[in-house]
Amino acid sequence: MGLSDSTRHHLLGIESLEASEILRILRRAREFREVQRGTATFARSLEGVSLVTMFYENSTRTRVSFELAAQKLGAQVVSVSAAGSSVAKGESLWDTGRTFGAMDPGIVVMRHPSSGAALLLARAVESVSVATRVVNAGDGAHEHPTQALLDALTLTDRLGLDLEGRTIAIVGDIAHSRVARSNLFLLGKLGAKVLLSGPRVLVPKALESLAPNVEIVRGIDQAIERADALMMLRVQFERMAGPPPFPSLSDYAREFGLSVERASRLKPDAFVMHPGPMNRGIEIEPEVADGPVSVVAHQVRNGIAARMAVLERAAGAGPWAEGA
Amino acid sequence: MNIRIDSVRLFDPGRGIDAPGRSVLIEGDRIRSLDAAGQKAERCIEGRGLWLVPGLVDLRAHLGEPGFTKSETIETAGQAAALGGFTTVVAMPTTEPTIDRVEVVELVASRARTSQAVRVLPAGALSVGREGKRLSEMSKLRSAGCVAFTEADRPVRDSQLLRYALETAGEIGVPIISHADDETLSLGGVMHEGLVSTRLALAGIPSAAEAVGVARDLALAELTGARLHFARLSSALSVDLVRQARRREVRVTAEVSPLHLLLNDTALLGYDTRAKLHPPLRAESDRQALLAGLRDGTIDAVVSDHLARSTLEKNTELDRAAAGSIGLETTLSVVLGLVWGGELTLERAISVLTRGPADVLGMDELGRLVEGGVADMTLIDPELPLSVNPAELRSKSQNTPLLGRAFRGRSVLTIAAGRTTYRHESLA
Repeated sequence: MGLSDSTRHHLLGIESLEASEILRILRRAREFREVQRGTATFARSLEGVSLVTMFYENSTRTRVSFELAAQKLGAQVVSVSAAGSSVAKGESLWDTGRTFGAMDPGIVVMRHPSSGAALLLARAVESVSVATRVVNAGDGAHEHPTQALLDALTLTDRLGLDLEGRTIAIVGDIAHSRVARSNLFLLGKLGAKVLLSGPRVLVPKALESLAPNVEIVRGIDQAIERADALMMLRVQFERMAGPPPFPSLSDYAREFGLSVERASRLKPDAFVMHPGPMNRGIEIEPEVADGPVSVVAHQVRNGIAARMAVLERAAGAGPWAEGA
Repeated sequence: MNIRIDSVRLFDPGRGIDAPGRSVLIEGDRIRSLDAAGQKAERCIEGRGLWLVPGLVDLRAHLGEPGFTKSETIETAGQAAALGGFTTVVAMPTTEPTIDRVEVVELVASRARTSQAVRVLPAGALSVGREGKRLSEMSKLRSAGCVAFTEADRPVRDSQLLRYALETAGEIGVPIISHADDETLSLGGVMHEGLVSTRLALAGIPSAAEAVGVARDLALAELTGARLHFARLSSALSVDLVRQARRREVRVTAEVSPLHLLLNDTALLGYDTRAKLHPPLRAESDRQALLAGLRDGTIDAVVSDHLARSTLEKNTELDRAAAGSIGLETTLSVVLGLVWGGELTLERAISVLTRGPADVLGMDELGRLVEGGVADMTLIDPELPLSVNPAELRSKSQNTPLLGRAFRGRSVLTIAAGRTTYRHESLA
């Protein structure tokens, strides 16, 4: 795409990012975490930048996380929700993108139910603005790059900076999961192995073609036994048409739910992640979700630091500033 | 008025003619002579280096009228057809209202008469309102000019209704054109289910959705003995099923669109909505199977499946975008491209655009060059390129994944019933 300002970057997905750029974002996020702990100070690097958040799908944690990240860096935040905006009046995403692009806020963060929507928005914004960049907060089942970045931060906190040779298992509804897609791209770039497990219809064979590091295992037990970290995903019925793809949720839980018994068979230092929202009692039992093996709260904390780094990158600030 | 076209390569696979250096004489709306060297004419056209073939016949185009004239009209689609070398176009009943009453047939016919760019043969709606509940009045519609019956872009959900339609159409001597699809399998799908849909994270339409439909329809064709024609097949499995049925002498024919012969599902990478078609572009192995089916005669015709869509319908999220592409201007050039690429013989390429589709309709007066017959013909310059760009396109909309491409070989003169409907500036 014809960007005239090379210091500012869209973040549409992980698939197109270089490994070195991923590491750079993670490094900056770690610096922000130091600040949060009070052991360092940092400039409000996004002073004068506006952040527009457009959420066409409901989300509490991601939106709040982005908005807190922006506020910590001194950016002004404007929130748009689909209901009550011109979207409800039938405005196309293309027109919305051109409208916000023309206002040139600096950064637009969008969540949208359609795969590819972030790319469409970026094209629309670019058609009227040279400065504003798009950050994808989840486009359909396609990508959720900031989730993968915060997950990588969490993984490296526990497993060390080098993920080469590590094995991460993702269990559940992979087909409809943007979290799974972004994670398997990211983990592949950082040299980790990804095991995918779940009901056959929700874990199509074609997923193995997405990245060289991906292996599908049938049944959750193999995933549990081999994983250094286990990511549990919920079943996204809202993205499916037609009848449910398996007999019942309790049947699903029996086959793929992380019970206390199953969790006890994890490798000694292995841990459990979940991007939320969580369906307790289905893909994960409450005792596991709240137990010592779970790092869910840590993931949420890391989300702010990861998003601060991504917002700086979008605005061409911090390490991404010209001459930095 | 009579016209003589000189020094052409006369090429008509339907009659087994391939003769160099011929002169052809047209008198009024008829072909006077196919070997007219030295005969007098009021107008002469020099055709050295050019090929004269029967006027192209398109079994499937959506002309937008009545109902969707913001995107296309019979006038603009007719101009597009003439530029593309077509002299006959079967109009799908994807109109509003649909073609389920004699008045609508007459409306289409009157618009086509005004335009005079192409012969328009309407296909009637198989059911009233294309709602799949009860049969439309096929006999009346046949008399008014409908040449086939179809639900156009949807399957006949009710198998009993399809059986009755086949029986009825068989009695009045027209084919049923079927869009084969098991909608419970394709429900919610955006593109072909495979590696690319997985990469783009879009809901897939498995090849089996079409094949299940094809298998059911074939069983009913066999049961009734009536003529069944499959609209633009897309998958290898469907081609195989049709091939097997033909061996059992089931009266079935089939067609394919040029985009399915040229492109595969990778055309959607980058979320390119122009490549969103119905049925979807499929895997490369499907494309190869369609070509094989076209070569061995399992598939009888290549159709434009011309479907104009507005920018509003296309410049949007892929899962919300409308399916379809224009095709009347580009079909001949795409098929010729397959010839240059060694994927199709020239004989077969012209056959599937002339005699093949004419025979599907059972209209042997079309798609052939016959002395005394109707003067429908297309003069092809095999070297002159067609650039697919807004200046060249005649359709009211420009939704095609081929935009920006160029193809070697195109029509330079189109004559329908003796009338020149298109003439390229290069022609002397």
